Amino acid sequence: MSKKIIFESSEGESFEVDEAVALECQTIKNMIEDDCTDGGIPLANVNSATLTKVIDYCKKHVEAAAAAEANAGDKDIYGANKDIELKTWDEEFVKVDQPLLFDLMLAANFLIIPGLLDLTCKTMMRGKTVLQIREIFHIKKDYTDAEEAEVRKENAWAFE
Amino acid sequence: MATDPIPVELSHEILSRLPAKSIARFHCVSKQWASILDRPYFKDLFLTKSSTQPRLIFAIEKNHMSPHEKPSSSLVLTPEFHMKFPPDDTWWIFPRYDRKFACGYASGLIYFSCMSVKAGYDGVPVICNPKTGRYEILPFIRRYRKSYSFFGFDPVEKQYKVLHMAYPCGPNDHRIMTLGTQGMRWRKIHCSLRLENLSEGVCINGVLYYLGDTSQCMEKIRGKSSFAIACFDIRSEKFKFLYPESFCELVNYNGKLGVIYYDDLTDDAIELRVWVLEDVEKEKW
Repeated sequence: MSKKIIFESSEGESFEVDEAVALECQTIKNMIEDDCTDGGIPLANVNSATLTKVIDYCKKHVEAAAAAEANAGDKDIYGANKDIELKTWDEEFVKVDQPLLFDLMLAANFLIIPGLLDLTCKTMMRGKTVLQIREIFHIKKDYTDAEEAEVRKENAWAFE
Repeated sequence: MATDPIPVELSHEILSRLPAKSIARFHCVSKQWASILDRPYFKDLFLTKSSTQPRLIFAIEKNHMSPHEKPSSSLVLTPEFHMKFPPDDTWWIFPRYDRKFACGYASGLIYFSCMSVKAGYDGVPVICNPKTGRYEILPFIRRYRKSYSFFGFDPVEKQYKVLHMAYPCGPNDHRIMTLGTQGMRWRKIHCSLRLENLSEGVCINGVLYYLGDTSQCMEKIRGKSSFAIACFDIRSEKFKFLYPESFCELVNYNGKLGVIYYDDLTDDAIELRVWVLEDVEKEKW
């Protein structure tokens, strides 16, 4: 039996995970190395819904890494089949509503999960219009209409 | 929609992952964003990123052959991405005497050494950015048609330069120009060895490589083949020469210069040998 780590969400719910899965989070890795994980790790700023997703992500990536290592010898010439599968999985994984995506991004940043941070940051901005960006980032438009039209014209190629 | 504002350090994480098109589009979000996205940090990030991204392969389509056999062109970049270049049908690219198009690629920009932008005018060099479809016409330089020019990028100073080498039998007048927003002009540059150029330029990590032949212009150096690989340091603008054992093809091999030798063994077998240059200064292969 591998060692278990217990996470506690902001609602006080406990989540038991394999140490290998927890090690995907740099923050937790440091705590495990410093041996201060006994009695569970309280994550006051991560709610249960988000934590469930984060654990899913870490599990999948640990499994994928293990599978890749096991199959390292018999890759076909195109090599990266597994990577494509994982990429597809990632894409499905972030098909969530905006608030959850936002929470996932914060959690990835706080727990330091580089892959998840990268994924959520990219997804956050994909296909967004200027208006949506202003909404997401709470930005007030400080251009006059004429100024905005000018900037738009300068970067016209990007709006095609 | 998210209700809390995104923490500053996260905005940074997000912005640094944007593709070029989004960066351009999000200049419209606010003045503050425009100024953030214009910071050198983002430009650097983008230039360094673009050197690690998959390279483009592009084909130039020959549109029609007019009575004067003018090949016109449009660029096809990856099967999903088509762009029309030049922007105007009256433009066309001069083929060199050997009917190859002279062009170079460095860090995201494509260079055409000779493009006719107005009917009846001599060709001028043109730089094109395939991502934006923008282009820049460089100052005209009068050159023999057989002369070669090259395009390179120096990642340290972040400068693009165009190098125009004189034809070996003509006057020893080599020129170089740094791309910039103002005062672009052709400066003279010295090169100790006269070469008849035989390859396009390959620009790797601030060094431009091309193959030349010395036999037209010099006496054969004992024990060496007449071929030379010019290694031009784009930042210092200094030449260095390496002597390959025979004619070879220059390629970018995982960020290092690779030379491919073709050896004819028998009628139906060719041996390919690839040498990779590990260190230009020490000439270590």
